Amino acid sequence: MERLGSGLLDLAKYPFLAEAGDYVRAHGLSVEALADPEYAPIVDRARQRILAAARGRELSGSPDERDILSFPLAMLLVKATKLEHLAAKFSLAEATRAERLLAQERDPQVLHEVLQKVANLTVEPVELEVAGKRYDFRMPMVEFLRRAPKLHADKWRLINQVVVEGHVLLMRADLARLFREEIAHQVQQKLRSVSAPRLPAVLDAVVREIVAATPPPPPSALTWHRTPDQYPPCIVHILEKMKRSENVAHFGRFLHATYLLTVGLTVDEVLDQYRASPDFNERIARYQIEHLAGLRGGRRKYRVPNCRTVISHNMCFRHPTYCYNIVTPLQYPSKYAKRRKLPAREAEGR
Amino acid sequence: MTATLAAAPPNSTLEFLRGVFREFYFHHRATVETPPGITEREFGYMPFGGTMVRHLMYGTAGELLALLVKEGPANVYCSAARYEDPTQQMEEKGWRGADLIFDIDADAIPTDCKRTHDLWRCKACGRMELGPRPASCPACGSRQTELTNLACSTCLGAAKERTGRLLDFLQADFGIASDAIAIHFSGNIGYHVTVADPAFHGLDQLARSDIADYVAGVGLLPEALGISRKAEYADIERRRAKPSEPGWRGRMARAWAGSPAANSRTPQPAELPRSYARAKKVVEQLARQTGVGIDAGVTTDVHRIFRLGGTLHGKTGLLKQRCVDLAAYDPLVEAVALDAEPVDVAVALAPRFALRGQSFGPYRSETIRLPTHAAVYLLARGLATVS
Repeated sequence: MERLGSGLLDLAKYPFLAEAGDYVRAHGLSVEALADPEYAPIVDRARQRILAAARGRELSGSPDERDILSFPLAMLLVKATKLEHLAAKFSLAEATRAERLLAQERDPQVLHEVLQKVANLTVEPVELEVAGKRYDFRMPMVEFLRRAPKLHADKWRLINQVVVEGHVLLMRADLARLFREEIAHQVQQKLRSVSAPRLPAVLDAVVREIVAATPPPPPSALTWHRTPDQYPPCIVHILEKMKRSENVAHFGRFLHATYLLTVGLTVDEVLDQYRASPDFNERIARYQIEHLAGLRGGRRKYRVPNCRTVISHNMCFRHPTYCYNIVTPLQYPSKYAKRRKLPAREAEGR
Repeated sequence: MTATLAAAPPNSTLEFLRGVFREFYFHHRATVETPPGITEREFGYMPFGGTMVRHLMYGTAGELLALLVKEGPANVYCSAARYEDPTQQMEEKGWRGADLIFDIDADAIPTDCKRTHDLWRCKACGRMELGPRPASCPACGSRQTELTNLACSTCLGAAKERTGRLLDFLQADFGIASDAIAIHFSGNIGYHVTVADPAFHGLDQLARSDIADYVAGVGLLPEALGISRKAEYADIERRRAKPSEPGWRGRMARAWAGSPAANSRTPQPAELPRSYARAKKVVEQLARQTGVGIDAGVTTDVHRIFRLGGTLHGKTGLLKQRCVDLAAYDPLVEAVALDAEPVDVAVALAPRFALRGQSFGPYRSETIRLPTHAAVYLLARGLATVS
């Protein structure tokens, strides 16, 4: 396979790279020129790109030379729709597609070069088999840690990797997955930097079609629940310890207070729950709760720790069903309502 | 006779401790460590009987020493993080990165010796007793009690063993050079490990949480060891970790080989955990036992101010001291930095303890003459007052 920069197929696969932009600029095409019927296949491909993204699907067909032009044109069209949520969907769809193509790359050098350009990161090809799995690359552990924890899945934890002398061994597909968000971010940055041009009538019609076909953004599913029967098991465990006047470790208090403040309890309501603690001191407890609520000190409201942190502190008592696939204790009530098929409003009012 | 003690030490005791600490810093300036990039670090200190003072910055080691000699603080802290302006409130400091730090405390290790040297105090009536903390004070029924952890060579030895195992993770798994790792006795009941490798500086809280879990053995999936929901026995056999493998696979294989279940004979297929859920539980338990129990809160906190190396611990008078040879290090001898000038103290309650090879106690409601280092050891913990 030809190297990036000279191989058109590679540019078609990864049109978000600077080399693809250079190629387009070298051809000196104007937006007006794209209205010419000669470019209809490219316009159609750009339309398909966006519609697939809007519906959360992947662009069908193998990459070909049309994609070098259809990508920048698709960016112009997305920009012209002025739909923020479409821009996000488009970026993610492009990144997911690039991830799939990277995972299929036979030539490790291409993968290496794309990652170098996207993330300025050098990954080393290796050929190792561990536990029946064939590993193709190794990357510095620190670089892995900058990305993998954000994927919030147990399989991405460092402890579940093969870690040797500061490097993590990775299979091709996993390596590609690690960079999806970065590619999406790069596409989004490109979209931000593009200014919406005046489009010829042909392209304007395409924009209207895209706007009509793009579903509206889903309403925010996040609703806060302040009824104790819907507290997650980690919070319930802390509350029960408090009721028994048992000592709760510092992290437990932090988790408990930030959770209750976030779901809407007042400082006084949270403070009342601490009264039975063996070392209760109203002045200190009030100060600390007010600090967490952002009423003192740096005036920063503290966030509820995520489930990973709760697990690290050995304070996770996960429910097999209602805690499944959640990343923060705040997601528990919605999951609880959903799995028990309670309408959100009913769940909230219970 | 029941030992009781007031909630707060009297001013005379606090003034005595402050004077001892000031004198120490005056005569041992070279002992106090100067962190690299001192002007980018946040400093803080806790005066005897006072509250924390933080968001401080010192331009030179001399300025810092001047504070120590002037104030004689109980505890001196320095941030693991570096900031553009350490004196600002947290959001405005401009975080530039932080050393990777680990805290291993003996109080988290279940050793039998605790029964002989830990003691509890009732905050309501002041009653003190040796042994584990009761649910409520037997004298007044109050539930407001506090535990005081003391340490002996047994529990500090257990903490040292854990520290040695942590080094194996840092060097063999993470590839960190030994000269980038500093090990300190904390001055109280554990060890601090600081990794000053710049590669780790920029890691956020989430990444550090992953590192903490890695060394603690939290979250290991059976899949990492070749056991999956659908695997046949032959697959599991083929993918099974071998003791010679690096990382957690090798560590688990060695732990399994060393466990009583595996020592007797080779496990047979029927003995393998019958279900994936059971296997998951076994793996979780063995991983926790094999990992190193650390205080995850310390490792994940990117703004933590950590005790400064070469300063005295306000609860013991022992030094937070760099350990060059961990295996040979004896904290209860080498970290005893205060002199032996005799001091008369009234001890409410103290278990037997040893410092610099000399055994003291047990004491209960008695006035005795002790060398300064032993007197401070009790005074600083609130177990005695200056008589």
